Amino acid sequence: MSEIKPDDAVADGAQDAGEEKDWVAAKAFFDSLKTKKPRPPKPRYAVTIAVSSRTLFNLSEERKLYEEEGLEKYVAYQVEHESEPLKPGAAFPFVKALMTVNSRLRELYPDSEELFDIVLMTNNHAQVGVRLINSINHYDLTIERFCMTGGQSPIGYLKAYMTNLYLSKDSEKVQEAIEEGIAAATMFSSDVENQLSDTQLRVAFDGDAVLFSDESEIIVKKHGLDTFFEHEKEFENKPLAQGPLKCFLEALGKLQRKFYAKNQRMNCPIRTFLVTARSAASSGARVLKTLRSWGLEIDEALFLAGAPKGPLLQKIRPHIFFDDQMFHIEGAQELGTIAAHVPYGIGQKYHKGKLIEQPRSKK
Amino acid sequence: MPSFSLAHNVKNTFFLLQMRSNAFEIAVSCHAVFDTNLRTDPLSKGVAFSFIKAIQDINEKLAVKNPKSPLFNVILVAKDLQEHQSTIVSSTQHYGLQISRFCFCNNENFTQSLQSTSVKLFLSMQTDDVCRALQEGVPAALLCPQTRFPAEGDKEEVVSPLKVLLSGDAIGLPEERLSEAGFSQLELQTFRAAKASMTEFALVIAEMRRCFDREDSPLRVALMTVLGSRDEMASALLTARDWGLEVDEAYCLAGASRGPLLNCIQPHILCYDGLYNVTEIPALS
Repeated sequence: MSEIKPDDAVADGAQDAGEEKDWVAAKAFFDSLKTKKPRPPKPRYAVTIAVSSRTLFNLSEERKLYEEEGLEKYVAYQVEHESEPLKPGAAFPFVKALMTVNSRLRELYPDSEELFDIVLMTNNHAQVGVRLINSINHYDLTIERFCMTGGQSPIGYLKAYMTNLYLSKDSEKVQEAIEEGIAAATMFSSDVENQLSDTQLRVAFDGDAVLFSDESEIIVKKHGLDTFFEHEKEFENKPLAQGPLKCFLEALGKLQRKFYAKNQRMNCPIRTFLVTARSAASSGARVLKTLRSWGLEIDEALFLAGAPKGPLLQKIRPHIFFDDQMFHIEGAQELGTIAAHVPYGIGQKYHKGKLIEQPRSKK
Repeated sequence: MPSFSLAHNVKNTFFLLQMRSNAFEIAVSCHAVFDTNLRTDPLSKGVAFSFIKAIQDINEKLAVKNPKSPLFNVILVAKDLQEHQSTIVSSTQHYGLQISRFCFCNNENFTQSLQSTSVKLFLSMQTDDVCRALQEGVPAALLCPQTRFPAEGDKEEVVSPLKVLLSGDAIGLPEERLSEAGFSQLELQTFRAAKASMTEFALVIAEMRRCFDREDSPLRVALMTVLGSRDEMASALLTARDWGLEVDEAYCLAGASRGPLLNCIQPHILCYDGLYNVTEIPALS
């Protein structure tokens, strides 16, 4: 099932031999430990989620210290407080839910490597890593793979860890990742926290510019809604092009089918949602037909016909909601949903329907 | 019979600094520094030529930051290159390489030659040589050719920062576990030798690293754990700290493939764990 990985994760013969050796040795070593911890899966077959330190844990105080007083003071503070576990961050519930799915998968398929693999991917300094590891130990999270680049951008490392999805607080890094063809999103937490399921991973996706390309959104922005409706009806049977999160939905679908194969459809610990501003009557068919043409299933498709997404998401309670428009992200946050912004497509140039003035380029 | 010769006509006072008692002697394979296939005079630069320049650059900066800091002392080891002796020596002078000694030897006896010197670390791009050296009690590590080339307009040969990659497995993995994991006696022996040589090297690197700030240091230290996972990584980080070494970067693979990651890290010196042949690192070949 190495189709779970993006295409260019396929390696050549020499690399394969090396990969196999490292894997076999690590497995033997891990088994010799006789620990109760689950063994990390083989990356080639796993769905790898790379989370940054600031999305996994709440590092807002420390971040402020770094911005105001610089790297040395920041690292010194982290080292001094090393034994104090950090508080959970925006991606924490998502990570716990991934772990729940893994336990269920291991019960049904004890020898399979098709699991979620969680990697801590951060440009933090390695000395801060001790506090991060202590915190991971405190919450008993199954994170065994780390990449702490000590200041360099971690984007170049995403492919080395065979990343399927990258979550960060830094939108520039997320944008770079998307440009490299890796599904990525900027995480936002909310002050109000909805109670989330601890038995089922629930993931909500926007449609255009997230699962699908922004081709239709361009039409709305440039020519208005009426043209958009006509266009969608006319091209109902032409599949939309892929968006940045399509592969992640695909990976989730593959894991879901493993549960269906063991008669666990009613009890599946993964549930996916499409939450789109499209309306079912006028532009919904194309979306559903596109998904079908890709061989993908989505558990619930919710067409809002332009209504705000916040209240609906509050009912759905996803562990993560992906959308390309900040307007929807803010709406979700206001009502307690953990939202992840996908900085892709024409939506980035608009806010609430109006063209944004181009910002001064940052350093 | 191995032969030694001092570099001739070295006038700069900086060279004299290198003869200090706390000089850390590294032996670098001549095949890395020069391209000995082409019969040019002076020899053309080899894949790791810029490494020597980087070492010199670090020495200069260390001497400025802390007069008591240990410095690198470079010996050039030339295997089976007896007939090129004078070309090699004159080439080093031509390029301004600060080589304190030359060691000309054969493939059969090179480990013995190294043993008879006070070399603290032998660096070669050939994994076979590194393994052999370790197995015969000579501290050794891999010298990695750089696949990243300097950008247009970069001052020629400036390689900064110099990156040293230490093995988190060698530091953090308990040995008893390794024999249970099915490694052979020879592999365990090489592991112990690799661990010992790396430990001494790490202590010196620690002293040097402390002369520089966290940011913009010309010397950076990374730690990579291939077999171990979270606990071994934490153990390695803390052990390194006990040695006075605060590593800059840390990578924990827990069995994930090391090749692509090494390509990203681009270390110059790779202290390998000795557990099995590292030839499957296409990024470095």
